[in-house]
Amino acid sequence: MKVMVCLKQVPDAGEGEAFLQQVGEEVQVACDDWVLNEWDGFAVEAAVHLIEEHGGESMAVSIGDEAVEGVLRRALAMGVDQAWRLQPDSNSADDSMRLAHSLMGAALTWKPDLIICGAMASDSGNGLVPGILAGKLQWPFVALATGLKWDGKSFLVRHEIHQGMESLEKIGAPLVVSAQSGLNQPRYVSIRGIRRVAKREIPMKNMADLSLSPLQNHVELVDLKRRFPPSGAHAEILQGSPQEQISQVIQRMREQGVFTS
Amino acid sequence: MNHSPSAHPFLGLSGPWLQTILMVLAFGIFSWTLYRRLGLLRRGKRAKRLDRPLHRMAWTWVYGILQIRQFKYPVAGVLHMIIFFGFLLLLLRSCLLMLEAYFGGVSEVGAVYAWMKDAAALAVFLACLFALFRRVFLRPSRYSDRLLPEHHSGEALVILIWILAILGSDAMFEAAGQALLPAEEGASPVAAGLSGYLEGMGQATLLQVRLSSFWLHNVLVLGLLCYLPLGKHFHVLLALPNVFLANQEPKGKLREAAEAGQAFEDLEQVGVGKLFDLNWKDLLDFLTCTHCGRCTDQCPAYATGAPLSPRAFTLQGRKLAYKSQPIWKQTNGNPDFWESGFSRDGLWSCTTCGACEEACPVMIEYVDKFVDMRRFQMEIGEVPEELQKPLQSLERRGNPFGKARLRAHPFLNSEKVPLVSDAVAGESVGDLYFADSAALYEPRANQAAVAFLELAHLAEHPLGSAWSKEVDSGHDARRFGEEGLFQELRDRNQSWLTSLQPNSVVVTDPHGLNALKYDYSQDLPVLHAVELVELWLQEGRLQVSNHQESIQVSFHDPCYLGRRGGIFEPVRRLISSLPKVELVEMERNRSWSFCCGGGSLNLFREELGQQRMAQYRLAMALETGADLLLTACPYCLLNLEDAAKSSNLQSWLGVQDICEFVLSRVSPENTHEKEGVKA
Ligand code: SF4
Ligand code: SF4
Repeated sequence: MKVMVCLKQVPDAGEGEAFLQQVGEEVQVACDDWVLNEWDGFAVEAAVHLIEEHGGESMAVSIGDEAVEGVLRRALAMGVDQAWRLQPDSNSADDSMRLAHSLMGAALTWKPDLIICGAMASDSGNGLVPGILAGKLQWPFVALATGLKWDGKSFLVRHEIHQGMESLEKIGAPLVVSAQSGLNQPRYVSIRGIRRVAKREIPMKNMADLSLSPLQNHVELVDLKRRFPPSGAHAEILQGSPQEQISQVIQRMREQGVFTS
Repeated sequence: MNHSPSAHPFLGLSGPWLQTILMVLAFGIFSWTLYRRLGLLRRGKRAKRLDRPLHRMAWTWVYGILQIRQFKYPVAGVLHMIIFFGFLLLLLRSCLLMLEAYFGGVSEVGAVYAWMKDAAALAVFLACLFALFRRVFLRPSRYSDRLLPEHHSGEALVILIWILAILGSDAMFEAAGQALLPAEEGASPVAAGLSGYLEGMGQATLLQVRLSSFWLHNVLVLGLLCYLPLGKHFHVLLALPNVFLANQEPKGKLREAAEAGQAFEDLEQVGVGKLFDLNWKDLLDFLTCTHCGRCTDQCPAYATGAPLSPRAFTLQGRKLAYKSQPIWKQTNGNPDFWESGFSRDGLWSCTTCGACEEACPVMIEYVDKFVDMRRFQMEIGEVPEELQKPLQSLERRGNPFGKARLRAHPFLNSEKVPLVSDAVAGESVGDLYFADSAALYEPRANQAAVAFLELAHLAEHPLGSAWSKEVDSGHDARRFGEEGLFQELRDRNQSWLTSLQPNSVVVTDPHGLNALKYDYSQDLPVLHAVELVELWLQEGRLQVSNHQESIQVSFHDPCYLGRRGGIFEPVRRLISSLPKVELVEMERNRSWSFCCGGGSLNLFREELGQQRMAQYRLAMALETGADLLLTACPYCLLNLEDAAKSSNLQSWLGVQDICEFVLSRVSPENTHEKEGVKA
């Protein structure tokens, strides 16, 4: 089995240490701590686990400049067999169409049986890429997977549907899956593990390497403006002793009809 | 001697023949079992345990022969001493009785020995009876273990009864001899007494009684010998070697992850995953354990209900070892350690407090084994979820709290503690304060550190700091098995330490103390704050006020200050030098202290017991009736204060760092003088 995982590098938002600044019409991220997107961690773990259980090969891909090698190395340290860095297609920062286009190139070149992406990116909140990728490849797509198994012939994918329900699909390869939290618990990567892959060569693939032609009829995504949300007027800080505050909270809840009886 | 078994055949065999057959049989079985059991050790990894032989001999004398650790449990200790020394005397007697089968009369060596032997036998007899009584009726809780399905008292009972039978048969043998030939000299008093009951039996019957008791005795003794390597009484043979081979490194020092000359990064395999990844001494520990349960009795994880019992770990390890090398069957492979039944939760529940090792009478080691097993788990990524985040924070931000450096509490930048960022050629930076993560990023710990720095300022002891270069000491990263991360943190700290070359390093965090002393390689004096404060008080550089209320305080010994760092008395001297302060000790003080739950990464670890360790400890402090519980470690402070808050006990028992307490008792003049100097 061949499994490809698609990774994104995001600012480390832990403890609120990635700082956003409004610069003119832009909101810029001031952060020198970049990490693997949380959902992509589930994707890597799922890929490594499948290969450990059933044999085969796994590969991690990420689109971007050399900086993304960090997350690719983390994936290698977690046990992925190889990694490609895909050269970004012009200024395609967060354009899901363009990203999916590059990923499609990688998929058609490497020919995986299964592609796992994180369900969304924690920085942009974008979760379009896996769906677009599946569409472009004309492969089936299961979104928000919380369980993933291979029974020797097909994949068994449990995934979230509406109203907290889950559904179990049985689908053959090839397939695109997006990984939801709860799919697994990514393994810890020791520093030794990271150091051991520090010198691994990570090949860069450009459009030509992936036999990709430029996107046709693409409607460019234009970033008009980013801003901090205006602070709301609906916040109220309750006064008084803890007991008084609690009574006030209960009072409000009663007024809002939280308690029916 | 007419009635010697050497002269009378028994079961149709002459004495010498019968004895020879018994001995060949017994020694055959014994040597084979011993060979198989000790052969296990050859399958373990290498370890050097023969350095400093003279020191080891002295050590064995104190801990092995005099067994001073026994007396921490007085009843069991005294019983054990009686049985141990009595047994030594009786061993001589048993050897003589073996010879008696060849040379009639050798076992009669005079009145003095007979008396001594009788006294020993009587003492052992009574001790065994009492031990039996204790096991069966008093049942001290430490003999049962909720993590061991099988009950081990059964074997203890068998052995105690066995010993009684040996004593009894010997007495019978002699008594029958007395009855046959009453005039004999040098008879043992017990035998003489017993012989009274045999009067009236015919000569032939008496001879049969004498012979059968004799052979019963010899069979029992040889049988016991064969039985020893099969159960917990292997310790009779292994305790002394195990004590002799015990770890002689300083207590806070961990076993290295890679052998000397090997780079950690190049290791094929890290840590211990399978049984025979352990070293031979680890395996010897398994074989030696006496089941006494002192380790588990002291273990804070066990006490609070976590799934960890050091004794169960050792016995499970032993069982696995025996299973993988049975005595009569072919040797099996190298099993995964988890097959022993020891659990992952158990492994991660250990705070590395060292209480178990301090208690073990035969010097069985735990922390090194656990850390080696954790190293393996780290390597394969099997790390409890709640630890992953603080570990990653250590990696990315150099502290487990995940705070960026610019969030560090800026106290260290004040004029009281100048920031020494770069060494000036030819100038010493003096004494350096190493804050470590808690004091830099945790507000409460920070307050305690500030109190210490305030004292240093009052005592006019200049301290510099390089906090802007500091990262966590890596102490607990290492003890949780993340060796690579530890090495990275250590190297980062060592690089600025080497370039600054301070005279000494001063810490408030005992984990930092331990790391700098034993985990780091540079040779620098490292002092804990309490040592300095004690000195300042002694020299009068700090003046404490007499006009304060009287107060009773108790002191919680932090594991890495006390048990590991050996710093017990400076704290006591410090407290007793404060006027109107009375120290009331908890029952578990000094090396018997009870871990508060542990520092650094332990703060993030979920305790799996029903109660938090700190709560347990707090209850002990409450028992003393003290007004205030003092400690000298930022994490102990956090844990204990948190426990007091969450159980609403703050008004009963305050919790303070010892430096905060001293500062609160410093006389105003002392403070004013300094202010005056400054103004
Ligand atoms: S070191 Fe402490 S916590 Fe760990 S097993 Fe020993 S006594 Fe228990
Ligand atoms: S390890 Fe030591 S303290 Fe624990 S049961 Fe065995 S002999 Fe007793």
